[in-house]
Amino acid sequence: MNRLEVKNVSKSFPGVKALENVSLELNAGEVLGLLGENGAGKSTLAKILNGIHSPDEGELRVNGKTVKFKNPGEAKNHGIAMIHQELSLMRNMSVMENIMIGSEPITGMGTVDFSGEYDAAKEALDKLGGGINPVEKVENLGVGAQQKVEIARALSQSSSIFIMDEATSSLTNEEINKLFELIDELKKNGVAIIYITHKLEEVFRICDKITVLRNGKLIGNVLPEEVSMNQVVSMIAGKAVKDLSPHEFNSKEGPVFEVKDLSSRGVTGTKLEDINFKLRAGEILGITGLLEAGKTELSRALWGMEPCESAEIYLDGNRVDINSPKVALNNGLAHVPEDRHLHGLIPNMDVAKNITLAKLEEICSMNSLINFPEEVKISQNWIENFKIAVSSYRQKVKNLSGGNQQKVVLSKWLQTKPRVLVIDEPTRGIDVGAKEEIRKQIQFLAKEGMAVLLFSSEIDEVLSLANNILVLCKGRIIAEYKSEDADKERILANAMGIKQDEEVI
Amino acid sequence: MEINKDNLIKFNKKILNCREIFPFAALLGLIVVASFLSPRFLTFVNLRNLLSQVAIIAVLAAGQTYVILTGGIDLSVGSVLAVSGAFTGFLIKTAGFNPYLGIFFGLLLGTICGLISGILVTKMKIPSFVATLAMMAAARGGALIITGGTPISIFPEELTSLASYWGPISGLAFIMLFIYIIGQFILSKTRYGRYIYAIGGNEEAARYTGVQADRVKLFVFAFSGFCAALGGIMMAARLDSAYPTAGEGFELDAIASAVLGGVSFAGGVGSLVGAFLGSLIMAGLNNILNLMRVSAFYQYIARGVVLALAAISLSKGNKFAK
Repeated sequence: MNRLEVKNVSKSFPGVKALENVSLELNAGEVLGLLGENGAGKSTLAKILNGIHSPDEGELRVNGKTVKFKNPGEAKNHGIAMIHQELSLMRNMSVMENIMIGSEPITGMGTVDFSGEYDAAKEALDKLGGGINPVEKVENLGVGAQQKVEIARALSQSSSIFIMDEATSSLTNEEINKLFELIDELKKNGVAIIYITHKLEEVFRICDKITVLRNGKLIGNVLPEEVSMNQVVSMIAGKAVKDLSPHEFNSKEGPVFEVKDLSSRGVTGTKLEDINFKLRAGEILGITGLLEAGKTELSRALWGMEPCESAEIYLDGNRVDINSPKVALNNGLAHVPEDRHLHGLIPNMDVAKNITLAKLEEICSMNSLINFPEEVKISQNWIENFKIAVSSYRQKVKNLSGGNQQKVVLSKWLQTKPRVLVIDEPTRGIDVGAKEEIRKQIQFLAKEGMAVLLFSSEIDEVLSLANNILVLCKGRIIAEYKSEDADKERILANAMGIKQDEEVI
Repeated sequence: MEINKDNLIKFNKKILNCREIFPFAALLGLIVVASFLSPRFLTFVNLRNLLSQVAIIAVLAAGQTYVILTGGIDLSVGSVLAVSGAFTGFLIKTAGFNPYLGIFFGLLLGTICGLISGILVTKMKIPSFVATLAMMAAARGGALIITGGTPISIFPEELTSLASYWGPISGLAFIMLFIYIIGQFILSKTRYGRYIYAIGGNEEAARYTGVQADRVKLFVFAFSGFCAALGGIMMAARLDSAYPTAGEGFELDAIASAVLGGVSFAGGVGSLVGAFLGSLIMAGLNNILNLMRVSAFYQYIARGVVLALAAISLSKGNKFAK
């Protein structure tokens, strides 16, 4: 009998088929590696197992019994625990309080039984090899130890199926080794694990079986001893799906934008090292990479939001020191951020006000008084231009769909008439129709002579648009392609850090 | 515009979407009820007094609203009122300054107090609640030191005439209207006002978009300090003395006025028009309870109930407006 069985599960969201007829099986004491590109359906599957989404079709079986989860609480009651990418501990509380939260032992007086709590927490930690003091505060622990606490909590709640989503993303090598020892302990305790990652070498190290998803479809259930890494890469990559082809570009002009020897301190994430590239007018330069490759950090650094150790940035050959968004803006850069909710929009403001915010002074008389008819004209122009679906330019942006919100963000930045457009994950989380429109618009802008720096973790997107492609891995540019020699499998292998025999340009 | 059904629906929707409609309706309701309860409420003399009573709190509420719109709070306004009023009194009476110069330096002191709070918030990254709590304590101390603990009294006419009646309304009410007109103009017609709303709506995104959020926040705290100082001078003019204990608890009345007027504590939503209506509701409520000779003890309870009801109706209203 299987510990967990997923049978012919399908799930659709408006405009997207997220999962189509996916099946997998998992026994007690087994680790299954779940692989796929961004948007392949890994997180949808994890959310279905965790009770956040319910499947449209198909069924889930835990220990042979069909189950239907209405919420994460029910999934937990059936022994399914999610170990998150971002840790979900109360950092201000002690280890034992965290482990026992929601099931604290109670004394006869009705107060918390601290010695009982200590013993129970210690027992859970000891199963994982111990080494953590239950009364220590969580904030004093390293990331690896925190993860152990999170796993101990799941264990103490008698969970028997663990879903680990990018569990090693913020761990050091040593901590990763410890996590793998811990996974061995869990296996001995009969726990079944779904291990979601993009790091192939980890999968080959610890997984007993591999499931690959692509575009919501099951590509294969294979055993690691029967396949090579490169075979798995081609299963993940598949054929490139391009909805556009890169435009003709062969300018001999000098670069508009040039970055030399950019290195960051990596305060907020991946440390960048020796980043060099040039961007010409009319060119789309695509920069791709997986999670933690340093894509976000690089795009933030170019916008003055990430402290750099060293960086020489040139605009038209003139050195500029970009240390704040304002400086970047004044130098003719524009930046469509990765997270439009956090960095792109003022949700309570209307469409018109959002569009004019970046260079409001340009429509002000005496540098202060807003020219309202001008603002209306500008916003109506963009609404027409981009076919933004709004009831009026006075509609608040929080009430728009993702695609229309992204068009508002793009309008805002184009209104600054930039010479260099940095655009980070332009089509993440928006519907297919709007995706295509936005991609066409980006290409149109480049044809008109704008220099575009496109950050995208969707390799297909980069292949559809970019004239030149850079691949980031662990904070470095690891490969460089021209659009005509670019190949999806090779890019993916580069991004995953797998060495291939072919020479890299 | 032609009057037809569509336009009418649009107009209705626009009014219902307007946040100030709730305090406006509440104020109308209060006036109707109050004029039934007491025949003296709707008399010229009473309304004239009401307007000059509300002026000081309303001026504090204007500065407070600026701060709340950026997502902050200013607890120091009552103490800054006291220290600025005391300083002006000291300069005029003890140091023998020209009254206008004394008023100027009083306003300057309040603005500097606001700037210090602003620097604590923007540069030292201290939450505005704590930063202005510190300023609240320190400024009160300053007022006690300047006055030596006893009121400074009997000012020249240049100062006290601020509180006398110029035609039908008092000088205090004129100052209040002036602050509100200028303040609302900045909020709705200039880019600085736009930046205030943007920071309150999503500070991260505003910074990302190139808005210099720290400068704007310094400005709103300075403005709040300026308004508090103005309140202190208005108070000194009205009472013909500067008390070291002046304005105690006024910060709460100013915050309550803003909340009653629909200014959201989350930031980014509300207006000075709303805060003005809120101040009028607070003062009107006090006024009618006084006219009916309700004990001051019960008046506090009435204020608390009204404030809670206002907050509830606004959170409901928010859902409808979606």
